[in-house]
Amino acid sequence: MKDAYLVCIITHGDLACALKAAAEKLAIPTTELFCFSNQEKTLEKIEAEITALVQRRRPQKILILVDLVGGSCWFSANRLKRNYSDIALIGGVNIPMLVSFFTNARRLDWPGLLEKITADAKKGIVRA
Amino acid sequence: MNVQLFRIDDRLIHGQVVIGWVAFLNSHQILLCDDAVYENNWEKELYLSIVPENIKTLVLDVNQTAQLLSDPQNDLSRTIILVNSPLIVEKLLNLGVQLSKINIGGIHFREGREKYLPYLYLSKTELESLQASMQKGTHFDCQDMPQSKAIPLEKLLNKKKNG
Repeated sequence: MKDAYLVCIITHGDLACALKAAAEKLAIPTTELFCFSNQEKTLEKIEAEITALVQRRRPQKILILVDLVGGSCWFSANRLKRNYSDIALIGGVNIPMLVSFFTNARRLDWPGLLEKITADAKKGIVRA
Repeated sequence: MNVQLFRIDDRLIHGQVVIGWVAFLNSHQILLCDDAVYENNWEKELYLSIVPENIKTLVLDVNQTAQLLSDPQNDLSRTIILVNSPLIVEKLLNLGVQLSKINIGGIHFREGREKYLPYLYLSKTELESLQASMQKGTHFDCQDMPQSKAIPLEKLLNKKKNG
């Protein structure tokens, strides 16, 4: 099977799956998201599972989203990025970023999509 | 040697350390002691990239760390020292370094390790290494975050032993 995109979310605790569930209720999921918790699995296991996913699905593009830049998930994602140079890695994942991904994945090219979801994630932070 | 915090954490520099402990202790410096990271520029740069600019960070190998710790002229009262394994502690002790109190912040699940706390899993080798260090007079407290309760390792091991 060859999908266009493989999107993995790696976070602390249950955040990754909670973000995925929330985003999928707000927008029509156009791409399957894979969520990983650093509490449920070792970082080595997460890296091995994502590597296996990449090999099995052979996506054109890979996107890894993590919650905290500098956290252990960030390190894990950087190790993966080192092995697969075409991995895009973004820190600070939030619901607006995932909704933006669903909304724009089929509309924009890859660089444009990455720029758009990063911008929309930032737009989602507002002081009232 | 007056080290602000000597911590065993298999994730070395990460959120708990940078956001939790550095802020809580008002640390000025992090010393990462690890032979593999010291020899790997890519990993070294990655670790250095996540530390706030106002925190000085050193990456040294075990021998260099032993030398630094053995020199009483060095002021480490605002320094957090990080190692990823009890075996490094034992190695430092064998090199003549005196370490009176050590924080165990995280040794996570891996095949062959037994669970002691949600953030503490130990292999037989690691357990024996900790026991050897304890026999040399080093006290270990298990505490992942500053707001968590410190649990003396000796107490934890006795509790485990007695079921």
